[in-house]
Amino acid sequence: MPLATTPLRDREDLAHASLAGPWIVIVWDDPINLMHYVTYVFQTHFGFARDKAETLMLQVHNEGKAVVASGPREQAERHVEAMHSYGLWATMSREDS
Amino acid sequence: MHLFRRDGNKILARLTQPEIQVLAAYFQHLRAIVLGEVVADDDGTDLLERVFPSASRDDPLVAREFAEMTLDGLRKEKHERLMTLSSAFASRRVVLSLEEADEIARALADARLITAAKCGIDEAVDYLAAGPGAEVNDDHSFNLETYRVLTLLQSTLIDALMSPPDPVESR
Repeated sequence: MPLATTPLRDREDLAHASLAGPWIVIVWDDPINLMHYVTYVFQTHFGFARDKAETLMLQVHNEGKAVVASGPREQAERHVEAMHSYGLWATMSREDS
Repeated sequence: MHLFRRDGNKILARLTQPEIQVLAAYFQHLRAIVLGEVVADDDGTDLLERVFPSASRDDPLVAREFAEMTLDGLRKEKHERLMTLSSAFASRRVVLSLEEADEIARALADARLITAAKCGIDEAVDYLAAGPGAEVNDDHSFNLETYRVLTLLQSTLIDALMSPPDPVESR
């Protein structure tokens, strides 16, 4: 019995597809970062208008987290790295997980 | 200390000589922590856990790959920002461009995260409303007072950054 039934080319395509799939970036509430600093970061990095940045900041504060971006894995990694650069607590995960 | 305020495209503050000396020594200590020369406090608290957090809560592979890809760069970046912070606070008159102010705001965020870990702060407390501590006579009270001062500096810096450059005067 063969160990794998999927041809190599298809398996490579599947692996590539998993890297390109939709990922979400989540910013988590933390007791240290100031609320207006979080708003400032959302405006500065994502280019959100003040109202949207404040809405997301309040969601982080009140609900413990907010999804701030979604897209391919590489894009999510860049956003998470930027959030960590600002000192915010951000993670990434698959949209459907 | 005269806290940050905006003047056109510059952001200004004033420090006293004793404040400069205390902050210079403290920022040097923070740089050693960020470089990994000091990784834990006396009680074993990981001081960098929040400065370099995990990129995934549920997937160790994603977290590991992300750390391998970004940790060195982030460490270098954060160390350089703390150097910028030290330079900016080395004289009594602090004058920042908007770009420098953004770098300083990020450095102050890291400084507050590390100081909060040293103080064991794990819940939001309004240290600004509480005012200065009664007396600084041990490491814990020093760290708490430092945290309060760093919070004051970052808070007024962000207010200055987010304020309009040329406020319309009321008539």
